[in-house]
Amino acid sequence: MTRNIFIERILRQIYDGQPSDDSSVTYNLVNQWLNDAIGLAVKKNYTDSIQMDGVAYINNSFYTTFADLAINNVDFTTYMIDLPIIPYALGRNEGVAMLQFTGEGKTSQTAIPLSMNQVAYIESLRPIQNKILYWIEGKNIYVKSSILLSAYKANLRMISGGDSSDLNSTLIIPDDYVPIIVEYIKGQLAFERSRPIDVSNDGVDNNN
Amino acid sequence: MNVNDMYRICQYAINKAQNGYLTSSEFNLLVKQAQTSYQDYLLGEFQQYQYGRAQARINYSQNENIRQRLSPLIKVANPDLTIDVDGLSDYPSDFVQVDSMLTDDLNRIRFASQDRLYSYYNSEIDPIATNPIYLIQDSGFQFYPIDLGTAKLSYVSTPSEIVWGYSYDDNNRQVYNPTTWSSFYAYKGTNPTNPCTLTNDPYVLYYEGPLVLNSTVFKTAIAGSNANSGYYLNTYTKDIYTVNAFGVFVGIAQCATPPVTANTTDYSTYSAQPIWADVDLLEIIARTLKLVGVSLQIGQVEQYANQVTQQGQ
Repeated sequence: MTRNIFIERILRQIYDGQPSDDSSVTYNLVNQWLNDAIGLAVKKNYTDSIQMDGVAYINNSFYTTFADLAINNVDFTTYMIDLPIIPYALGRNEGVAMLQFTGEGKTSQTAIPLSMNQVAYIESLRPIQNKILYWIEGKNIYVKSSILLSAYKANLRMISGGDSSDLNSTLIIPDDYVPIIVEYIKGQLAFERSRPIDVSNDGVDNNN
Repeated sequence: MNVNDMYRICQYAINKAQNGYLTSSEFNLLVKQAQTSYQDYLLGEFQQYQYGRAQARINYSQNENIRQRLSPLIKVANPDLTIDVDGLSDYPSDFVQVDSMLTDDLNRIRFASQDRLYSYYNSEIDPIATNPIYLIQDSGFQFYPIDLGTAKLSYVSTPSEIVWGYSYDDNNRQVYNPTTWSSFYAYKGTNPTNPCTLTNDPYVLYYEGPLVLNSTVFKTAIAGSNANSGYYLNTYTKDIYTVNAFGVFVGIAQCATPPVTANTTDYSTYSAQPIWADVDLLEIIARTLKLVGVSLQIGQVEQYANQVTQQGQ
């Protein structure tokens, strides 16, 4: 299911049919709420897995592979990668499950994730030969390595829901979690639609 | 139902008890007001709005039935609206209300009230470049972004006038004249071969293809003809609708004054038929009678008119 199709489904419900040309809930607006809703669905999957299996994990269906991400040099042994979205805050670093580097016909071993506390610890150690370490910080991934990575590109797997900038892209959410997204977005948009509108152009911010 | 039927029904209702008479000029005046009143009713009367709910009981485009009633007045601007470098475009000459406003590729152009312009203009979720808007101003639309170029406008137009035309019989009484305006009498001297066709004679207007009342070509032709020949062409610029592919008028061109040097037919007595469907005409008749009833203080006529307009036919 593409984002466009999902959004059209939502709009049909909100407007009880095809929206008219003066509808205020736009495709782009629903798409913005969709990002939040995906986060909610992912979190639900995380808690479901604890309740049902006793182990916290995210189902593979939520993951997307991003390839050929640019690597920026921060200092002699530290590199930075700009992520498409801020990874979801699940576990210590479940948001990004795998990081690897490719270039010049070679592929590196997968990098080792660190928690923030471990980052502080590793900073006091000497570099580990032939190992690539990384940690997530906001919308970036920082990589610690004694290997020169400038000539490489990063490939990674992370939970994303797909490409939010392309409404024709596939919405990467398994069907069993779509209802959670639907309920969340319906709630937000129904709330927006039910709010009184200031219909008087009188310079006063009144709610009718 | 033609204009004569409408006039006769009005006369029948008013004159039944020999207590009133409606002259043709009064009928023409009142029926004009009545159809405007009916159009207002179909568009949605503001008086029916409730606090916080701007919705009339009967509302334009509320459903297919109401839209069908109004369909004789719904037009598509042809050609598309041209938007100047400042983002401005004039209303069509017979414009009343927007039906829809779309871009070339049929994406919507949303209406924005002036106090929300800043909000639409600066939106990051729906950037103005890909989510165009228009504002309503005194003489036309203001579009943003201003470089939109063209817009497809569908709109509700003003209805053409309904005129009961007549000629005189031997006793000098008015007799219905069903002849309607069908041509643009803007020639000099004898009639051209086809009076409906505008030729390029230096004394007459010339135009081929779809003729738009407000078009530059049309205005230029009028100005030039006026200057050279003294025609009263400006009196012919009312209620011209469409022309077919050969530049022939198929609509109504009403005029108040015949051309000074054209033929001597008394154009003022020609009829103009209603453009509404029959089911609408009784509503218009009832509204005409309402005005007559008020004028003549005929309670029964008023009561009948109220019943039709408020409770239905």
